[in-house]
Amino acid sequence: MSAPLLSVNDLKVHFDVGRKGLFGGGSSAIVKAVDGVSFDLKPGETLGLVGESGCGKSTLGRAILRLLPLQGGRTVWLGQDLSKLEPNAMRNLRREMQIIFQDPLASLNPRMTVGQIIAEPMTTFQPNLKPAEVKDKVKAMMAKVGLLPNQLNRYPHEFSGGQCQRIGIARAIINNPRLIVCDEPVSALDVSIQAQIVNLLMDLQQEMGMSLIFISHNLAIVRHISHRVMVLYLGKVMEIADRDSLYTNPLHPYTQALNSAVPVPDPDIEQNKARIVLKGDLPSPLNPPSGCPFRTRCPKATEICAQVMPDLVSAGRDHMVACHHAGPIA
Amino acid sequence: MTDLSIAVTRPEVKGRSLWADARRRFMHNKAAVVGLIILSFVTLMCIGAPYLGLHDPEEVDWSLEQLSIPPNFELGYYFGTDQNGRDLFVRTLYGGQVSLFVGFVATMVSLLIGTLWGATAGFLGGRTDGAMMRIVDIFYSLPFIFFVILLSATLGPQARQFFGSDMVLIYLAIGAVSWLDMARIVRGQTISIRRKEFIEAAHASGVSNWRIITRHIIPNCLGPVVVYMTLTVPAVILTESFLSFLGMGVQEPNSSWGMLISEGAKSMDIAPWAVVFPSAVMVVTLLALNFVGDGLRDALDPKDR
Repeated sequence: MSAPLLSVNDLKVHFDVGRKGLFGGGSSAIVKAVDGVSFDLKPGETLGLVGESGCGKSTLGRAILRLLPLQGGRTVWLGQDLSKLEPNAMRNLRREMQIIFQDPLASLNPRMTVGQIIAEPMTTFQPNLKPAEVKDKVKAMMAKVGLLPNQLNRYPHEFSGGQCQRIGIARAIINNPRLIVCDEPVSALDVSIQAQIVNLLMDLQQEMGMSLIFISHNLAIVRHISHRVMVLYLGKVMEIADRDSLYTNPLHPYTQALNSAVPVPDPDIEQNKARIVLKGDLPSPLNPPSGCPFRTRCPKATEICAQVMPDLVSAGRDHMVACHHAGPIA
Repeated sequence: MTDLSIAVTRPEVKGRSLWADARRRFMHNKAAVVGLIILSFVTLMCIGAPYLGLHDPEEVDWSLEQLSIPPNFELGYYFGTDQNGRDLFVRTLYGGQVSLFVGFVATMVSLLIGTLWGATAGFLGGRTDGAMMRIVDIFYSLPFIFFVILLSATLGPQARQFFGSDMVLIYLAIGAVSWLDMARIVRGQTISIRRKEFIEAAHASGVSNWRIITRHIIPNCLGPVVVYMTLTVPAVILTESFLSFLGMGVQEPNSSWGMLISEGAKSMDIAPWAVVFPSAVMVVTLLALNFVGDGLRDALDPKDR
């Protein structure tokens, strides 16, 4: 096994959403958006990140890139602790890690041409490049992501959603990064476009060898693109496993419920399959349940779940699960 | 996908920026275009006044039977003469130079300081934002007239010695006040923009804070800024007129629109033209400015898109 590109250890991101009084009083309320997440990411690997809305997927993605302040834990990038880096050193590392956003149009500055947008990460790190070189590189990138290079003087509002996402991808890959965090890159797109974008990402990964952290609601797409998948619930890791064992042999009741909710494109099977329907809503992250956060909706919950948060323990090769009652579907 | 290789060699397509769209919309707005034409005409006339072969603004025509005469085209007094026998038309144009210049300078000051101040405060947020905006609040709470009197009382002699006139103080006073609104507007805009994903993308690409402010934030709040600018110009012109009317602005023999109106008002019942013409020119100019501002707002308002 090769050395990890990125090693995340007990990462915590908390937001203080309490109201502060003028003289220091006031109520304090802390949302533990990401609470003690650990994982390793190998070079060239794709890690899928799934979970309900508000479970901390996007927060985790941004925290890894240090776009958000951490309350604890470490992110180690090729043996270097990112949380100890000076702002300038961190800025230099940013050429190695990039992000693709959910809303393709909102992630592009409406006042800049597509060429300027794509070139920005490159010109930031190589300010002395000649305009002609920049232009050539931008055109090459546009061709690579399937855009017409002669449109580099157009503005984002003149492109469709899928094309805007391609622009975002071109911007992300222009510095040959080693890691791209894809924050729900396809959920705002039409289904047919989703497939194009996902396949583009996979092709680029094959060609350039970068790692991806792929955040999504869509389990089918995550299954298509990921090598390993991590399931989050209320900021905690429920289960992390390589793709095949997570989809064919989920051990955590939450993963099983998620899996059973994936629609099957065959009406007969869809009608007769066993669905695990979870009761209730996601508990408030301001006031999470004691012990295991999932126990309030878990069909297998017992007394111990309310008292002790289960550790993430190994349950087979490349398979870790955090549950007192982990086991295949009964 | 197959035509990509052909497309590489195709000529580059020109994009249509949001600014180009706004310009097109502005040009379709008749009132705004007429306003712009009037404004340009008045400005050109004022700037070109010395080269039009008119009377000297300080020359008193002793040949008249009475010093103050109504408009007389044969003698070239299109607006008549004031109570000292000087050509009112020329004085209006020269006064326009001062008024428009004050408006322009103060607006530029407000644009420069206000935009940078507001964008920095809004972008950095937190304590910095609080401190910067409290400074704005303090400036706001200064009584403006008191501030001007104080300035000309304490610094007036020095200013006259250094710059030859205390006009500088007027620019200073108006500039010091007019950037406050701009700072607030830009700060509000910045706060709404700073959480947008393209700002985050710039962060993630390692772009420095200063470049994020100048390249991403300021261009995106320029819409409201441009609109507010066109509204600041008339406000400043009015303020200057008001100060001159009170006798604290431009000093004789110079003139400004406010001063001409103030002088004309003294002899309103016997020589109404002395107040009517400068007022009319000023009103038309301000009206034109406001039409231009309205047109710009409609052209730049994203809700219309």
